[in-house]
Amino acid sequence: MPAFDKRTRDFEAANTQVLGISTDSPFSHDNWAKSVGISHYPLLSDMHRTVAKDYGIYSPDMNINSRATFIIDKMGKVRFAEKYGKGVLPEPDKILAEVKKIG
Amino acid sequence: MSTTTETKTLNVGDPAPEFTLKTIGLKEVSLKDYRGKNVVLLFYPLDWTPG
Repeated sequence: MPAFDKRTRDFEAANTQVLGISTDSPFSHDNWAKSVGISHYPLLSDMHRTVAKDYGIYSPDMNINSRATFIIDKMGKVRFAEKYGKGVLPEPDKILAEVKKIG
Repeated sequence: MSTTTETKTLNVGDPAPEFTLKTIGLKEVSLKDYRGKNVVLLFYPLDWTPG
């Protein structure tokens, strides 16, 4: 998400790492990242759909994960979860505010 | 024992499931690499989709 790529520094200032995940291959990620301008945070490949299933956002009809954001704290606990309908994207400002609430 | 493909749900307060996945360049990234930091996990449906 280019919108988050532009804000990586703000998340880093809040001691927070941003990670993108989809079921695409690293080769697809490479092309997409170069095309849309994502270079400041990693894009991970959940090709076996195991992470999507573990996080409860696997969509069997499409065999992909749905769009969702999770915030995990320093101790590895889920502190925020948000799922999105079609066409709705996570907002960096809102997610950053949620991160700052956790501290 | 269920064989359904339906997934479990993950709720606020639960421990985040660990993972190790490949990124661009086939480097491996694990959630535990970032212990001591907050992590924002952005799941998106597919490359080449909006966002």
